[in-house]
Amino acid sequence: MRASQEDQPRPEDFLPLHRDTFQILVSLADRDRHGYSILLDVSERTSGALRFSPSSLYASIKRLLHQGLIEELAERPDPDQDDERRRYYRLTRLGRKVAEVEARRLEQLLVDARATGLLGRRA
Amino acid sequence: MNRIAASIFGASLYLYPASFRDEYGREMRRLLAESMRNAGGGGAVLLWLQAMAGVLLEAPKEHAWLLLHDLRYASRTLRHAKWFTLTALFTLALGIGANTAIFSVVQTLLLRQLPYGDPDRIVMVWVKNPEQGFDHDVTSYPRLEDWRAQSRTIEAFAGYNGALRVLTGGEDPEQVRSAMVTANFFQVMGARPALGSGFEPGDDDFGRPHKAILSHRLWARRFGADPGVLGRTITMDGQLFTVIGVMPSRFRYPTRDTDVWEPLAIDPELRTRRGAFWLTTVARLGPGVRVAQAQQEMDAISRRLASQYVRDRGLGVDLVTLKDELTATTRPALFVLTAAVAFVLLIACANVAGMLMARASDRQREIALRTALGAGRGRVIRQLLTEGMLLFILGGTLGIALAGAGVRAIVRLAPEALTQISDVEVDWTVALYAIGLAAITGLVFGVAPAIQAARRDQAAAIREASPRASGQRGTAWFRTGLLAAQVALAFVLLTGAALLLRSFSEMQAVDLGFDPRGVVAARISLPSAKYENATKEVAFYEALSERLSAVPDVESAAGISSFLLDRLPNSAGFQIEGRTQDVRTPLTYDSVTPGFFRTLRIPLLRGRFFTDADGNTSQRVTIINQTTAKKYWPHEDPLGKHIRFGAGADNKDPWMTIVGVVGDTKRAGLDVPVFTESYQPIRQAASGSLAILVRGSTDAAAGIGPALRAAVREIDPQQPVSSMAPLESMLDETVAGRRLNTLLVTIFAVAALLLAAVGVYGLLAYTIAQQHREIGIRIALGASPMAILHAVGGRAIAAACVGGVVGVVLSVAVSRAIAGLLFGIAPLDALSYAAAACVLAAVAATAAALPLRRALSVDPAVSLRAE
Repeated sequence: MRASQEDQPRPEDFLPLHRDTFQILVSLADRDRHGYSILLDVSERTSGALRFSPSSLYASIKRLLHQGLIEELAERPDPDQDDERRRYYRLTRLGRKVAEVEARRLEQLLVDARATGLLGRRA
Repeated sequence: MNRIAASIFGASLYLYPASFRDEYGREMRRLLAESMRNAGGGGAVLLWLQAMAGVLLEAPKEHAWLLLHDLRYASRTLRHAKWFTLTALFTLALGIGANTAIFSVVQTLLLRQLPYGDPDRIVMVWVKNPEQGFDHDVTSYPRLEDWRAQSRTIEAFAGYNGALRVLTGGEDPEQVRSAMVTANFFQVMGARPALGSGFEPGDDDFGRPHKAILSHRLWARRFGADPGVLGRTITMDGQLFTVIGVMPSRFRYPTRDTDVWEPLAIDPELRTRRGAFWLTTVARLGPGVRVAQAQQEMDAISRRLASQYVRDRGLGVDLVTLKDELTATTRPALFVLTAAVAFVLLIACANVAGMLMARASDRQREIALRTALGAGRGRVIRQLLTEGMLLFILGGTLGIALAGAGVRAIVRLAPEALTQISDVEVDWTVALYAIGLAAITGLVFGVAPAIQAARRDQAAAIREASPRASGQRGTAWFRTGLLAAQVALAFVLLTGAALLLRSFSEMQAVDLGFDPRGVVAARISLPSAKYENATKEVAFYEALSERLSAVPDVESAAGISSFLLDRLPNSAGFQIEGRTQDVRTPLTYDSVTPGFFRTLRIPLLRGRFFTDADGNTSQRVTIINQTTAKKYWPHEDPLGKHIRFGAGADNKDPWMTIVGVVGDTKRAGLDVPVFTESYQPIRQAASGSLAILVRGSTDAAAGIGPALRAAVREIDPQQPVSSMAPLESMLDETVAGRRLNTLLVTIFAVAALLLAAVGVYGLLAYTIAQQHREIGIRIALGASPMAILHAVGGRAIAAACVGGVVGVVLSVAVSRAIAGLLFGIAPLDALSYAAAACVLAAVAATAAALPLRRALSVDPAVSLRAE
């Protein structure tokens, strides 16, 4: 951990984000999700390229919780699935900020790559 | 989903730390089940495999993360409890360090095999003569040959003799210690040169070309460890030697500082002289032969030889294993040190246990609170274990560092005679053992109660403002018992140290019979090739003494053939004119220059000292010491009586007239009885090797060494001067072993004392902290200070008393065991016991005073409000 929670970590302190971490944050950007929902979302968005195993997903979730980037909500049933109660996760203010800063960083990288002609200019 | 797959995955989750599993296990199982359901068929199998791999990959990471987290937390709590941590670390480091150091020494000296092949088969063969009271004598060549011829149980006998030689060629001439050995010496020792080859049969015949094998040390120092040294010639005492080998560095026999081994060129005369005792014998037992068996056979051989030769009458043989021989003088001391240091470890363990226990009960509330706030029990226990382990690892590391320093100090302070001491290193098994012992003690007594606390009803623990509930009483009693044990052990160590210190000071107070202060001693050995006759030798010494007396700082200078006497100095049986019986008790003989007695301030009791007039043409004279005079002329005046060395009617030795009686000296060692001694003037009994003694006029000792070297160089630039040192420090070396024991036991006793003080302080401070409220109430109710002291300190005082009594009983037993190490005092020396008791009482009282004062100053209003 780069900074302790006491002295208000800056979002930049978390960069660059690990691929898994970033994907989880992105997946929580539009709504609260439970573990399986995150897994499905990420898998769908990456066309199956990134598929979490239970271990890697929960290791990441635990780390994000510890870093204060996401928070756990009270258990509730998923309306789309069965009525089993599940744990939901939500981005914290810090988490959202971190994801944003990371996205901008990636965007800048993309711009740079295009500017040099590496990827060819946008049509 | 396949049930079996699910349960295998569930089981694999046990690879995770319990806290992680409790938190996410259910979710992970469900997640896998759902994924597999959606994937179906082959996809499901793939997912399952992926999930299993994920567990194997992620679980160790979780453990590491947790450990790191716990370590960080532990180091924070330990830093927070500064005094607890420092005391515990000090205690652990001391206990572990002292034990590791001493056991490392014991391991090397007593337990480890000697670095020779089949070392258990190597024995020393000593000649003994019970009638004359000697048991460790060397032998003569014909006798060695008889042993070789007659023994069946002993595979091989080797003889050796030492000499100082002057190595020339290269920069400075250098004095080297040479071992002249029979050709089979290295076979008997089970050693081979690391480089080159050993001696061959016949190399020890007289007149063979000289060969030499170098010690690793000399090879590195003088020849820059050049393998090309083989085949080169070196010059010693003006003779040429071909270097044929270099021994490994661990081979240090017969002495720690042997530089060269050369074949013993036994001249034809010595080959036949049965009465010339000069060879030290070492032998190798045949395979499977026990020492007792060989001893039995050697006894029979000795009897046979005694009936055959007059010279062998009354002689026997003593076989001593090499290991016993090398450690004989140190073994009792090492046992005492081992016991002492084990006591220190026990006290240290008791202390750490007590401290951890107190801390555990102090933390019950904290633990209960954390459990109540949702930390799992396993989590809390894991945290406590990590904290304990961190403490032991830190303490152990400090302890090992301490042991390293201790071992280095011991090697430096150890007496020269211990040939293997240079090999001593910190023994890791021993270190781990000591740390392990401390850790187990700590875990059992310290962390276990904390675990118990974690299991307890949390609500009850939190409710208790003053945690004095069930279990506390037992803890208190246990700690009291620990304190009593500590006091007892500390008392034993203190009496031991007091006894050894008293012995040492008694020994220092022994009258030496001469005055070593301000005298510098050095050794000069004139090579016989260059100084082939007595006239040349005497001329050298006379020139030297003339030059030295011209040096302004030199008050007087003298020489003697051997100054500090060995266990068996130059000595021989002798005859007294007019008495029929030969005297077989050996009389020492030493050649001295005329100024010897004055230089050392040895008092003349009767007659006269030697003078320059006692030359080789005048009447042969001798001076004897008081012990000799009293023993052989108890009611007569020995002056004018005649004696001569040797035995038998055909003795050709010249008669010597006793012209003086001088005071006894303790030059064989402070704890060695005075020998019967005689001195001869150097002009009548020249000696190629002389100890030079120079007394400085004031405290100009520093200038004397260079002056002596300069004087020698002027006379003979090729002649080295060796082992130059102030006489006082040379005498110190003779008591080095004893001083080391005394020093170490004293250090351990002080350590034990400090630890016991920590114990007393800890117990009282803890009791008072626990009873804070109670004390407040008592004071509020008007209890007298005495009553308060009794209430809080009563148990500690009782423990100290019980400990003291047990300590006395143990000490009596221990003092008897160390009686052999004492000098001039009885094992039950009242002064030592009293001193130990006073010191312990004073330290315990001081340690108790601080917390007790705090108890008396408790403000009832404050302590009750605090509830």
